[in-house]
Amino acid sequence: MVLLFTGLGLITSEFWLTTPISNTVIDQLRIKSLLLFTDKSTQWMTMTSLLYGLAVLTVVRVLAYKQGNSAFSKSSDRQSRSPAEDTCISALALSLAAGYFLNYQDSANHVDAIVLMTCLFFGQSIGLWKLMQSDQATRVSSTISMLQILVLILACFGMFRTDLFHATYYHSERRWNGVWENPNVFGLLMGMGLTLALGLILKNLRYWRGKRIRFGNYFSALFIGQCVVGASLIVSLLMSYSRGAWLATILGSAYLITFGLLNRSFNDCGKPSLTAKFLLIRNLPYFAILSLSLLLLAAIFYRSTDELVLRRALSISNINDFSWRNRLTAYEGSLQMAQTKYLGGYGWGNPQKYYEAFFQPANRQGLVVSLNGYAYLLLSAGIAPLSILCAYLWCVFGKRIDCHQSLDTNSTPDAVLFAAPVGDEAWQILTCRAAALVLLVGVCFEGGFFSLSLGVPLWGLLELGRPELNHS
Amino acid sequence: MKFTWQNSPLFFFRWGIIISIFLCLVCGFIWACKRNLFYRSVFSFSTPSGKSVKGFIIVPKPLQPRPVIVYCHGAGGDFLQDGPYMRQMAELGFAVVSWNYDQDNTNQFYQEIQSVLGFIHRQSWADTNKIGWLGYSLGARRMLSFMLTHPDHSPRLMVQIAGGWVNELDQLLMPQKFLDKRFQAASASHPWTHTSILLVHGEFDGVFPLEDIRRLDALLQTNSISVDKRIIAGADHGFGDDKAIIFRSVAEYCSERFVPSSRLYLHEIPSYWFCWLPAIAWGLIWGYAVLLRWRNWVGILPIPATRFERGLRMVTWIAACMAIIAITFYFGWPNLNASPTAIQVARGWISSPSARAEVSYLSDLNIWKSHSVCTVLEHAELPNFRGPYLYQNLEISIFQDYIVSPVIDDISLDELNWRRLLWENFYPRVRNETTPVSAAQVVVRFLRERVSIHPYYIQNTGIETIWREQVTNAAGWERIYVAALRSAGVAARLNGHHQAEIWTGFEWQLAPRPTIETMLPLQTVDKN
Repeated sequence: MVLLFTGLGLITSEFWLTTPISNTVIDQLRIKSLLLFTDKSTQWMTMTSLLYGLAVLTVVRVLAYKQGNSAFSKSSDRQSRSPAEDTCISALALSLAAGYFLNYQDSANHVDAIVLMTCLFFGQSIGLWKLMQSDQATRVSSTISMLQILVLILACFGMFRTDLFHATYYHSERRWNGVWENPNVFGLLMGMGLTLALGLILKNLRYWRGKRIRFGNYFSALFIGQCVVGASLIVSLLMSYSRGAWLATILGSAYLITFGLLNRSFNDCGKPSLTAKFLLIRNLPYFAILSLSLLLLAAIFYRSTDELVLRRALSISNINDFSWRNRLTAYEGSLQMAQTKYLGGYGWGNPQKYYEAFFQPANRQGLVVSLNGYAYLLLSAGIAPLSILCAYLWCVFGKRIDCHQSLDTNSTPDAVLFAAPVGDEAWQILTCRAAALVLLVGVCFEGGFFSLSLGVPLWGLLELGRPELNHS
Repeated sequence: MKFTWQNSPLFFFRWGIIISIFLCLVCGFIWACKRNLFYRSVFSFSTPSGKSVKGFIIVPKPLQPRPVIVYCHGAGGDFLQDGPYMRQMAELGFAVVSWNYDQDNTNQFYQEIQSVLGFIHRQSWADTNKIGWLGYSLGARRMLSFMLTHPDHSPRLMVQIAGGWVNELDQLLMPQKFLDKRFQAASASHPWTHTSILLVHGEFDGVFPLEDIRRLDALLQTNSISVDKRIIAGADHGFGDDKAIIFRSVAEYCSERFVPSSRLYLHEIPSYWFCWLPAIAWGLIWGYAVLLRWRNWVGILPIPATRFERGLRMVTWIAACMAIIAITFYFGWPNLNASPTAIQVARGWISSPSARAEVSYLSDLNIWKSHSVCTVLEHAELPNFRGPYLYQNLEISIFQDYIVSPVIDDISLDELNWRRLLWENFYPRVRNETTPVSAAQVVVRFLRERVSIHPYYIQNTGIETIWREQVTNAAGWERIYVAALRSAGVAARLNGHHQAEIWTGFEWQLAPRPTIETMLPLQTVDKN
């Protein structure tokens, strides 16, 4: 719970940092804590502390794995972790810190490096928390409980309204932004929550196959509650009018559904139902062609529709819409910038200044290169951190998710709820991966690596989406 | 093929996606580099005193010997802040070099500029016979001091923007016998006779008074130094929003003296679509391979198609055919020649409902011979993107005749495909304006930053050519000015004196004039 609420605090940091507080003591505390990150004379201490914390976490984890978790686990289950992931995290942290300290005078003027390191530290803390769970069943049930609470809180934030931030509009319709300033960040978090909710709902749907839903018990109430929360997140996502969030959510959900429903590991472990999946795959191309055709027809015939959500979605085909064209121009400029300094980058906080000075086209104004997190990381710190990050993502997403025991489909839902069978872990990992994928796609549009609101859940979900190799 | 899950099409997805992403990145990188018109580089050097200094170079491509401008920014600034001005000068064919000089120590500055000049002389992209110095404010004064104390490094051209009097100039006022040794030798040999100086100063400069510039001008002329002076009426030390125009005009002046070997056509960058061919080819190959795998895999289990599947397939092919027909018509029809029939069909099926009246109006003009339907649609639709947002109640006749209509004068009829070109450049800058006058001020400023007014430019060209060439004469300027105003949603026309005028909502009045029309000298300049 401590980690969960710490994470929520970091995700909503821009709200509680901006909200006026009458209590002078708390306000002073807030200002002083902010100075740790922004003041040039103390920022190096924050970075050093984060580096030290990461090193401690890594060492503790490596030792725990080598000793068979005896320090933390009462069970004979022994978890192991590929050394490649630890190497990637360590190398990433070191490369970021190297660039930061080598040019400290410039780096300390910005919080990009600090924020990224903070998110990295939080993610590794989640990894250590996973390790400290007594056995697999406890780990899975704790994680699922945590995800359920996270989804519920996100849904509540989605309905929250504040006038603290400048309102943005789309054709006179105010874009929802919850407790965040940027509606695109809000949309991505709602999309992440929706993907998590979808994963939790699909996990529970397996129990209802062939059974009649009985209302009145705790399990069915929970299931219905999850559906209501999911519906609320859908509304919040749509009202954010964030095309990047919509696209990211679609891709994340498609990943979840594809690998969840069509892979035998996640359904009945060892008992695949071939016919239904065969029919689905046989007709998949037709679904794809039909969807594409309908989309193209909608883009042509409904481009001037008064329905704002549809108009916003179809605006990607509107050549007069400067928002997506400006982003493409900024991407082009960031690639040109990378040509000049791809080894060491331009330094933390400098890419935008160099872009506006020398790379922004004369006929465009206000373009921002930091919106693409991958490009911004490349331009700030060079190709090494970006390559290491890609390697880490490969380690996380490339690892196969296996389940080791078949699911007992004759168990009652209540028994299953409290027993947390092994198959649930595979679903939980897949759900976290899908939600992380939403944020990874969103990084292309909102620079999530350098935002606490997006970076903290991203690195946490990457850790939760990493399967542990269990050895009895 | 044995029926296993590993042979299913899903297995092929992972590597296909990864390769696709990789190829897109590589092709995108190559494409962006091809479209990069400049060579940019950060350079660093150490002065004799051991201090490390960082600078920036921007050179137009292709890399070949080009005239060089050495630029020194003002007090408190750095080369990043003035980067847009450096790029503006590079657009006219110059290699521009600047660095973050020591603003406190004059001797250190002298060492730095000597190092920079030495660096430039070693570069293959530098035409060392055509080096000009450009200084703004403190940078101008430092450069002038350096030139006076190091006459052997004198440039062929020095431009002082908002500069002022420097102490070294007092030496020039002294009789010969009282001169410092350095000035004695310099004064005797007249080393600055090959140096021309351009002084640019604001009329109400509060930092370095105008009187200083007048004294400087008189003193330099007395010492047989060629001096040109431009006083900007109404401008202060910083020149406000007109600073970019100042730098553009200065670059034009320098261009007249140092004719660059080639210039850039910034408004016509090729698409280089062929850079994406590897990614497209891979996409087609991978898609075909997936399709083959899918067909082989599906054929393993001989399950007949259900009724739902048959219906789904029929609906899919119908929808696909409709989509292909719609796309072909929507994208193909506007490329047809703009005959009255073609325009009427486009009006009914392609144009948005709000623009149909304007399509009919434009069709009646009968000026579209050799132009496409797309040109007509753009002239009709883009003014209706937001409608006449700068006016409270604009008469339909004024809207159509002076915003929608592409007819400006007889010469403009030759090139009518300018609407989107200018709209994409000017509309984003004026969309937050609320009055036509304020919008016109934004338009004239940006237009002058992009297009030069050359008094000796004799060609009478259409608007597209002017925008592409970025240079025109006075008449051509008024023509493109009216076009730019119309593209931004300001009702504009040429008056009886062939000058642009705008409709304010109540009356016609002369459109705002650019701060500087040209800095070029009235006589031709010796370019050697």
